[in-house]
Amino acid sequence: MQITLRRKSIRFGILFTLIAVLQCGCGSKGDRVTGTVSFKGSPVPRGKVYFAPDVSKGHQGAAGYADIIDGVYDTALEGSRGIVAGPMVVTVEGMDPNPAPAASGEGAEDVVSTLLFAGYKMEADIPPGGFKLDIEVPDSAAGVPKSEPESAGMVIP
Amino acid sequence: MYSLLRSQKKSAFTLVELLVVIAIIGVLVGLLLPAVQAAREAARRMSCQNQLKQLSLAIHNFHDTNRQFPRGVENQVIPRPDPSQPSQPNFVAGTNWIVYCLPFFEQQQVFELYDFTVAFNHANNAIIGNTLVQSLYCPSGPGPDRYTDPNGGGVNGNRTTHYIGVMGPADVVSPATYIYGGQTFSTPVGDPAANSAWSVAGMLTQYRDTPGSAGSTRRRVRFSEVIDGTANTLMIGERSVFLPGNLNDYRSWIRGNNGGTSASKNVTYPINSTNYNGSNNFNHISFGSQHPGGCQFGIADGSVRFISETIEMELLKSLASMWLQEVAQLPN
Repeated sequence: MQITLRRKSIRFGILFTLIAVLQCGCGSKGDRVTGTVSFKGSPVPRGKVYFAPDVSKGHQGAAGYADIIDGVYDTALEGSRGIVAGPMVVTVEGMDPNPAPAASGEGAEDVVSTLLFAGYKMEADIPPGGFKLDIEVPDSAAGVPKSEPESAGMVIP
Repeated sequence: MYSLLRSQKKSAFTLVELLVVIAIIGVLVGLLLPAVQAAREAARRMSCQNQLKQLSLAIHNFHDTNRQFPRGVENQVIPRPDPSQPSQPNFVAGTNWIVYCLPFFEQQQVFELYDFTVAFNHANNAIIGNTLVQSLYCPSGPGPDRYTDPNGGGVNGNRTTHYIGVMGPADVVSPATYIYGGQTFSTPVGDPAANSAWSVAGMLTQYRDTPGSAGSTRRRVRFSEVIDGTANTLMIGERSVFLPGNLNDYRSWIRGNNGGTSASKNVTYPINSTNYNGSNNFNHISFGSQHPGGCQFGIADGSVRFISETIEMELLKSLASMWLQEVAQLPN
């Protein structure tokens, strides 16, 4: 009797310590979105996906983001942030770390990766509670989006 | 008799008693340790605030002396003095606002060493880039020698800066547009999808002497241009994060906007979200810090505020512009 009681106390003590230790370090970071990103039929090696609440549809909140690693992204990973579920504008950027491009001009030393596409935008309505959104980037998104020259639309008050 | 018996019995703790005591001590330490660390972080954050405040005041004092804000980040500028002037100006890659403000935060000696007749990465300026200016580093961030400039030439091994200017709202496409308070705002961005991208609407953005740029050629910003109100405009911020990968994107603190700059960034992406992608987003790298939950900004009125990383992007972009006239106020 004495021994079983002791054992129980020991077990209780260990459990108590475990709970106390495990208590720290858990928190939620918004709704999770995960999925694959492909471009020209193959996974995008590196890149970034940004989820911005679609303000034009009356949705507001903090933006979420995730890194693309070998064609897969997940907002629950380290260095990412979950989203506020609702209508989203999704912006995707794709990189190929190999091979490094032959750049010239000022700042050429800083260029070490090849850009596949930048600023590709799509809309998605994302429900709460974890969602799988696979992104197929069209070939037409290659390169960078077309911009107006800086002088156009320049209004200095 | 009683005392005899007592002395014969060995006094000791049982295993259970010991375990209980250890468990209680463990819980207490578990509670206390994070609190101590939080106190240390609070102290570091205050020290960081103080440094941002000093830099903000330096910029204000520069304005009081020169009747304009310091040039944000220089692209191609006329050397001073220029022997070839004025017939055939001979442009060099320029420097940034931190160098111009040096005399205003008690670094006159360093400022006097800077050679304005040559480019920032010329060997003559290597001694400046290597100088340790303590107040340019957030105590929570990586130490001044953790990430040094990997490029060749005079900047090789130069230290960087954790305090950077705000170039304004931007995007990888020009014009950058965003909706805030039901209104759509639009502002041009120079070289939007390149490393040297710069927004026209910010306080410390690109300056150049070469002709041909509506927003940056001989750009001059005074208090009267900050028509959004100095209390609602971001002037400087911090980027003092540890980098997750091997790609070092910290550059010399004296570098202007010459294929990307180390001393100012656009507000394109959320706080703490973006590092260098190795190709084209150098000036779109996000503001960020090791302070939990956000980073600090120096506001144009001279105050310093902590801004949460969950701030809406539209509001952050509105605050970054100085003249688009959004009805935007800093969150409390």
